[in-house]
Amino acid sequence: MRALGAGLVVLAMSSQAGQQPARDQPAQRPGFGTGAVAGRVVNGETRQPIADALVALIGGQTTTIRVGQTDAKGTFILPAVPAGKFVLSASKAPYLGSMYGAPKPARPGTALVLTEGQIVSGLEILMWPGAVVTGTVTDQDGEPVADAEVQLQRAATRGNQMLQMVAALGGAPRATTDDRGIYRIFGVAPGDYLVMATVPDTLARARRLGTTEVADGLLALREPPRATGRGAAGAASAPAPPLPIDGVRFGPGVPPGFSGFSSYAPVYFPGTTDMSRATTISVALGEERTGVSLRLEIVPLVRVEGTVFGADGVGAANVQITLQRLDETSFMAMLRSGIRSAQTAANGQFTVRNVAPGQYRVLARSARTQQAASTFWGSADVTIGGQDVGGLVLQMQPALSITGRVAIDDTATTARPELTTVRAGFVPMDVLRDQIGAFAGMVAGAGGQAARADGSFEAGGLIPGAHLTSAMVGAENPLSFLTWRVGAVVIDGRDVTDLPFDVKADALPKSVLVTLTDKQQTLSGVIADSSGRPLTASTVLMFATDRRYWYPQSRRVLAVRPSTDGSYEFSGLLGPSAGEYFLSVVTDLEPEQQYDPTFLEALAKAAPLRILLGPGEVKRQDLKVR
Amino acid sequence: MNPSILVAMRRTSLVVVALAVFTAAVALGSQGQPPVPPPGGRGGRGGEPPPSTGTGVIVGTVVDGSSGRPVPGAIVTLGGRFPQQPLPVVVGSDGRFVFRDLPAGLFSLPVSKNGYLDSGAGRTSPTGVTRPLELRDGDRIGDVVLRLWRHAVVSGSAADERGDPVVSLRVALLQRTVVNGQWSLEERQTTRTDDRGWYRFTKVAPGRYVVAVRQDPEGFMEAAVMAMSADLSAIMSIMAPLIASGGNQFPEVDFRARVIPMVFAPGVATADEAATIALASGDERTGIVIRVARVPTYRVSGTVVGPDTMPPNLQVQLTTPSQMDLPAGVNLGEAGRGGSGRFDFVAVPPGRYVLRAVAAPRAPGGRGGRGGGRGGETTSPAPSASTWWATQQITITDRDEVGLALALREGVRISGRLQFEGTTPAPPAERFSVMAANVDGAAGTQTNVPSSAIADGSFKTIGLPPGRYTVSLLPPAAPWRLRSVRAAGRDITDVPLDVDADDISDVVIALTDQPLASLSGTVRRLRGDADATAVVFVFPVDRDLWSHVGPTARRFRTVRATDVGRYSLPGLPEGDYYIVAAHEDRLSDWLHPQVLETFASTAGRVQLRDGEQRTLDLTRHDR
Repeated sequence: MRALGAGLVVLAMSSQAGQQPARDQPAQRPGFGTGAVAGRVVNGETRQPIADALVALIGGQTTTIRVGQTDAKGTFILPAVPAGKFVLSASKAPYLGSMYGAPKPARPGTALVLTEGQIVSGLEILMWPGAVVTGTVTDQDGEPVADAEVQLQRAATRGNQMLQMVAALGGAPRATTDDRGIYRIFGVAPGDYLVMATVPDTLARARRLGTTEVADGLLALREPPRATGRGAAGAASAPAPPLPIDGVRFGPGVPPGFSGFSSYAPVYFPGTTDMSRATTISVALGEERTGVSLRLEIVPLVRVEGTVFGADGVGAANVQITLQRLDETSFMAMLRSGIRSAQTAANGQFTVRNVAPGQYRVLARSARTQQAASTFWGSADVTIGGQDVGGLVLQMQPALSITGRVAIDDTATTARPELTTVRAGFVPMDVLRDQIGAFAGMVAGAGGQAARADGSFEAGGLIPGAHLTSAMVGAENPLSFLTWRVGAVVIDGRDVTDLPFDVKADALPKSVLVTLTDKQQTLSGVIADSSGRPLTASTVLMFATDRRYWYPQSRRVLAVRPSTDGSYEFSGLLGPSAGEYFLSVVTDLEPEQQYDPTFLEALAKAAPLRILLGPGEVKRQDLKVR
Repeated sequence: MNPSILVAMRRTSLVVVALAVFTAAVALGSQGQPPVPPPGGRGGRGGEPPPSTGTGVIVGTVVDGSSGRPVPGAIVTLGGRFPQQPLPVVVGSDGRFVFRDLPAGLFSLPVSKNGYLDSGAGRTSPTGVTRPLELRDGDRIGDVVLRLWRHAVVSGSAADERGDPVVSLRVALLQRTVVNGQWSLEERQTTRTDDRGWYRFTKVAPGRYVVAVRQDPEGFMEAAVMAMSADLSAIMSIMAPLIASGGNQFPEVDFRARVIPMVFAPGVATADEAATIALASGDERTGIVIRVARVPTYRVSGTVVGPDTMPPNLQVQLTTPSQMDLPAGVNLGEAGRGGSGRFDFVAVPPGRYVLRAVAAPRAPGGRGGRGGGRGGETTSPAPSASTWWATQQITITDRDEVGLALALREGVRISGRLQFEGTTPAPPAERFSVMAANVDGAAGTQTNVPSSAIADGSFKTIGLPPGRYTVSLLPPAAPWRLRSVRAAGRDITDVPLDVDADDISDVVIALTDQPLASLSGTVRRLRGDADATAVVFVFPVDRDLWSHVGPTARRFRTVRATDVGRYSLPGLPEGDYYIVAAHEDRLSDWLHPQVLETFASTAGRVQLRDGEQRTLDLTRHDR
């Protein structure tokens, strides 16, 4: 993540080189034209003007940004606009940010296509008031918890790791509790949400002292303690209070006699660590939702013990043990709680401590070497409650290995990378957490094996299960994904591009060919109504005819809104893979609705247009809607 | 690179960021290898809490520093350098904590609790210093008391000229401090107002504060870009030429919006007029209203002209000449890149500014820390490298300032030699470096410039922008220490040197092997008992030395009394001093001449000669 971020910075920083300092004569400045864009920003509900809203126009051939502001009457004008395609946005907290042409809150807008010198006026940008969600976060004793992060997750993203992650990284409405435990999230778009609270790191890492532990500590002092009078400044204070051993307590829910520690786990509204039991709240447009309060739950941290036996039946030493949560559906929560790990001792025994309740997969892998990720593996699924778990037995078995080949598209026009800079491999779907969308395919290569000069590679340490084939040029050049990505994956003659395949011990693939390409496919056209006018109030959907590709964030399920001139385009980095598609037009699309198979099935039944897009093909398809 | 575009790119590139995180996660997962814990397995949740590496025990209680009562729910962390870090513990209703099986070592005990200021072992007042606990092998310490003090809270709201709440406004809490002998402001916290225009600062330490609105054009830009987040794919396609160009394109930005300029509560332009909020532990100050008004913004642009080849690390700053020295506007130019020398600030509100260009011969960002600035850089630039600088006052009223030409001038060098005065064999001169610290005003940048290599006992600094500098020598090499610094026969050991247009040579830095003087004694309260809470302040009688107490001041010293009221101050240069015992809450602002004057009225006076070891008992008169 750092590397990519840094890459972008470098990219941006090097960007001014070579430009001439001629920018003080506007006419000569690149990105400055003679056109203008003017209009009003109004409340989408009441149609009242919105003053002091910031209006931004971004686009053009050289990426131009114009920032202006509305006056008391809600009007704005952005001068010196060049020709090109632009998006126009308005923002003013606590209204929801909006774009020109957006018919509803949180919907995409309509891009403007402008010619040189064109003056467009009378544009109306609708904005809607953001809702407020507020409440308190308290601990098990009802005490306010400060610095807890409360985050709204769209209920629709439940189970979709990628969406959750993107949301968690930047988009999700969130707030932090103050010293009174109060949080207040504003600017919330209407919709259904899960509310999640995460305790601050110190508190999350802290364990509650057990009764016996304090008692033992006090017993250890029974011999007269060395009076220090230093550091603690104890001498200057009143005598230390007596040392009672009662009064130290656990929170509720911790079983008596439990020998370990306890700690806090992230909770969902109204107070559960289990996402499936979380209550969804429906937030209406602009409402103030009060009393959305969460109570933190203390969970016991237990000990998991077991033994790993090698293929020879003897306890296996130096085996890496990891515990991965199976029921943790929030990717970020998983990252936060970390992966618990241990190593087996000489006799094969292992102990993993401080494990919170949940369903886990205990995975054993023999130590990684230069040659192979691992050669033996074993696993066991275990449900952990409030008690220590002992006596787990893991039997090691040989890991699988698949050889394959990477190739560069013969018809590539970009300078071809050395094959030795390509990393390729098979990423287990449980790691991808059921994500096989555009992102997963592009990035999964980072964990792969380096290919040899002839393109061959060997991926070892594989465990049976569904995998995604991936390849990536030079992990050391993170921006290479802008140019090179997987164009095709053929396994034993079957095209499994953008699809997972099963690794089985008794049916290992004989041939794997991963082709990297610099080609991008483009489909564009103009959409008009029966009288030939641009049909801007619409969304064009492009989705694979093959239903296997109907999954969230698929590279083969795409939607776009036409620009003011009715033009639409599917292209670029997130553009379509080569393949066969349906093309449909709908008037409105709920967020993420295009990934709903029922919805797509209904569209497919309506005999939509079929489009075949070959590798690197640039196709034009005009649409007329009656 | 201007930050706003970075923000914009970062935001619009959420997808990219997501990709990157996912890459990391996938790389981790596909290898089936968790991150390798550092040797000994530093806990996280996987570590064994009680490390079995010793038999030491620490038992203690967390108490409220004012009431002495236990603080249930406080979190105590065991900090220290030892192989296995136990998890922090949450104390129960008796406030008691236990750490067992400890090896010998130094242990800090950071402690925190909602509603209190963070604290640690040895703290005897809300902002006092903490001291680590020393544990010898097998020690069992049962009487550790960790004290927590209630925090102060400041809250209020912001309203614009129409009386409407201002939402998502960046509000800062600034503490009044002293830098270089002048009142200054240090930013302690920032926050944003909510949808009602409300803000709230918590965990505020006792002190004197000012609430201010920070100019935030980047926030505006970010909001604009975030407004488009409903259509990431549109953004990606719009930005695609920018990204795909591999850096050959750059957004052309024109910013024509009114912004909220820096304003101090209750709605004034300067810190002098601002309302001061004096806070003690546990205070809650509510209803601090800030009135703001949006102002038009203008463009300040032009070109830096200078040597034939523009220094690549040229930085251009537009700052307010206030006590805060805050940057104004957003620089879209990239003066040092591609030799263009271009600078282009947009979103600049009307006001007086200093436009400053500096190219120092080392990595940019060489601005030392404010208020203290000790430490500084350790990497030495090439001695031959030049420093280029330019500065210009700008006043923006009602129009853009474009086409400015900022002429670079070469920095001035200070040179001279080291002189060893003593009988001990002199150490090699190369082990010292000369530090020139800028001490211009409260807002002055404390650019700590390490010397070029010192050869044959002579030295030459890199080029310095004009200003006032203190010159000193680092580090001490017992028994040798700085005796005096003289320039053209004038003693500049403790006063700044004016650096103007011409190089300064013949600076003689004299070292001596004579021992310094020391002062020690006991602090008592008026009623005669030892005072363990006092701080002893020592400063010169000569008021000429009070006005520019720079980062290397040797004659201004403080020390805390020990548990039994003892103090000890070694290493004082000979001279005439005031000495006074006072409360430690004076530590943040005692270097101001006004405070020194107050101290002087009750202080004792002592004249010290080199090597003298003086014992002096003090009585505390304040509080």
